[in-house]
Amino acid sequence: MPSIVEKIRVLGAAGKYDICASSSCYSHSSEFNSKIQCYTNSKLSEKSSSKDNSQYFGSMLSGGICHSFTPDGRCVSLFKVLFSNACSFNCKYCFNKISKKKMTLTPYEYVKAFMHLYLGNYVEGMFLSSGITKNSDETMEKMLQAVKILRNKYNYRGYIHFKCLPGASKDIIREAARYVDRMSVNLESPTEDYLSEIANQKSFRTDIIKRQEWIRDISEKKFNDWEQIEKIKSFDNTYLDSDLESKYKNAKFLPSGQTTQFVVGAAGETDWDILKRLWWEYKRIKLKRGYFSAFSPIQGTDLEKKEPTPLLREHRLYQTDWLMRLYKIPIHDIKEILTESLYLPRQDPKIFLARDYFSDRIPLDINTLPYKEIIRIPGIGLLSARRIMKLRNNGITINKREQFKNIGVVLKRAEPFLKIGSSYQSNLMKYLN
Amino acid sequence: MFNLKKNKILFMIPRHHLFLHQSNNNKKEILRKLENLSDEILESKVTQDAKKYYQMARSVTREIHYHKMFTRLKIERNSILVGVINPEHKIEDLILKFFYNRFPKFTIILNSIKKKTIYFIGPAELREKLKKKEGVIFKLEKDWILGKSKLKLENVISILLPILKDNKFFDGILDTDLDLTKLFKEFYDSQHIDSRENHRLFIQNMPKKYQKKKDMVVEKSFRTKSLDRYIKK
Repeated sequence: MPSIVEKIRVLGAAGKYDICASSSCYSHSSEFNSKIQCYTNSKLSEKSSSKDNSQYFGSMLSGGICHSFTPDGRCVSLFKVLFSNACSFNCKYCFNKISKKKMTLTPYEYVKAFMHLYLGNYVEGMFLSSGITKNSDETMEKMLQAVKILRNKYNYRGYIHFKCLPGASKDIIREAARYVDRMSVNLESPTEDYLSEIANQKSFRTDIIKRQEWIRDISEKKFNDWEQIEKIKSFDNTYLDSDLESKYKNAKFLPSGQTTQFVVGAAGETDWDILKRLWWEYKRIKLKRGYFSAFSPIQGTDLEKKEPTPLLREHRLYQTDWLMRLYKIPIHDIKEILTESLYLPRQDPKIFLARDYFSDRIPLDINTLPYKEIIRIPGIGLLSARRIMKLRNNGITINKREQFKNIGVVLKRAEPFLKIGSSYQSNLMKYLN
Repeated sequence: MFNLKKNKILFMIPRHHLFLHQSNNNKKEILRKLENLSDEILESKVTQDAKKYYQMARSVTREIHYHKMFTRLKIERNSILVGVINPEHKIEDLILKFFYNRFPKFTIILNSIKKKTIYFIGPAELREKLKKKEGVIFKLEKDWILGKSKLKLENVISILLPILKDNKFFDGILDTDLDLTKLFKEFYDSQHIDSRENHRLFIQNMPKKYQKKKDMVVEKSFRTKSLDRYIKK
């Protein structure tokens, strides 16, 4: 019988290819003070007393806490260990397929290992995923048991990301949504055709997109289902019976929303295919964000001889996703900068977008540009743009390099586009023309 | 398509200068000068003074954040969590409150090596019992007490342990046989993808100052690769 530590070693290695594992917090949420949120805690403030506080453990108040970094530079913030690596599916790229040691953690073992690491301040939350042992519902049921032990028995109010397995039933998804902060279904590929090439047992429309739509519908509701609260009471009535009402009333389902992940380059899809799908997901599925995992061949799998995807491609996709999601640059603008074969350019997409967008108007005067255009200039981020707007609103003109530097503008990138004072940087193209 | 409320969050600028009081350099004249600067100037760092204050305050917030990230806690008899800190600024109270908010069922003890002081936070009930103990200074804040002591760590633990209530909440789940460092080592090693190894990024994300901490045994070990690893390849 393998020990917990041995299981963690094997199942942790199986879970490392899941990229979508950043934590989320409520501290910046506008709803934090106005509504009682599911499992949220309260700050050590006048409003709360430690008597209320001491019933719980865990917190989601601070964001961006990474407790360690692996040699590949990625952060270790969540307890990312598969529940089981025994998978009945046969995905061509998957690590579980070749794993000789098949192991499954019991819900109790999972909670035990997590609690130790959480109390030691080694992890920030839980990321619960699994191979599909017999069928999706049965596996998810077991995963959910671990979550219920944490939430109901130990009153854990920290972060939980729960992976919805393809083909799971609506009932089990709805039940899971009551306990966790974020759910995700991995798209893996942008279209049905590409998915059938790498994972022919999964149906793109029914197993994945349909489930994403269910999660979207559920996350738009609020927690007022008293029947469900009775159910929770019956599961474990030793803790917080009287508190359940205040704990759940008006709480939001899935406060951190849903995410997804693409395996980039496994099925030969272009960047345009991925970005188009992502745009659709933001629009229709109300996705919080997408993650990209550059394909790297694993020995023993069907795709072992396939060339690995360069990490730079993954990086460019993240940059473009950032521009779409936060800078709100529309997809048709991004299409303009793609190469003939529909891949992103090798350099920073923001520079190409700026050249394309401003073309004849360079050099630009920062003191007259609207906010929407300032954020399109390379080297000026959302925070710097906001600072510039604040100064302008207070009648301060920005016309010195020193001012730009202090604000946080990266002049090396921004200078070719800007007029600073009365001077601007010339480029070779001007003389050639 | 985007939620307006959400976008508003993005533009929230952290008021770093609020943390200047925690800075080691918080001389009165600096704070007085600071009051004369407008919010816009401070936030935009457009003058040299504003930039200087921003950098000072930023070094405090950065230190707070790193301590939240890299302070490892050890569980003592299911009722005390003990950690080691080494801050330059006066941020002990903030870190204590952060951990107490996260683990309210535990009394938190932090050993500040540089300042040779033990800081702790615990429930208000401790107040009466601690009054009789020598070498421990504390103050009551709302429903908890914040304290410090120049005694040795073992002595502070031995003072606090008998007066704390038995915490049966985690009975059965916290296993004393389970070695936390070993568990984390196995978990940490399992998370690494060989083909993506990137030491520059690792060092960029994890400053050397924090790598040197005694708690970072696991993270340090990855650089000492065994010969087996190369032979396997």
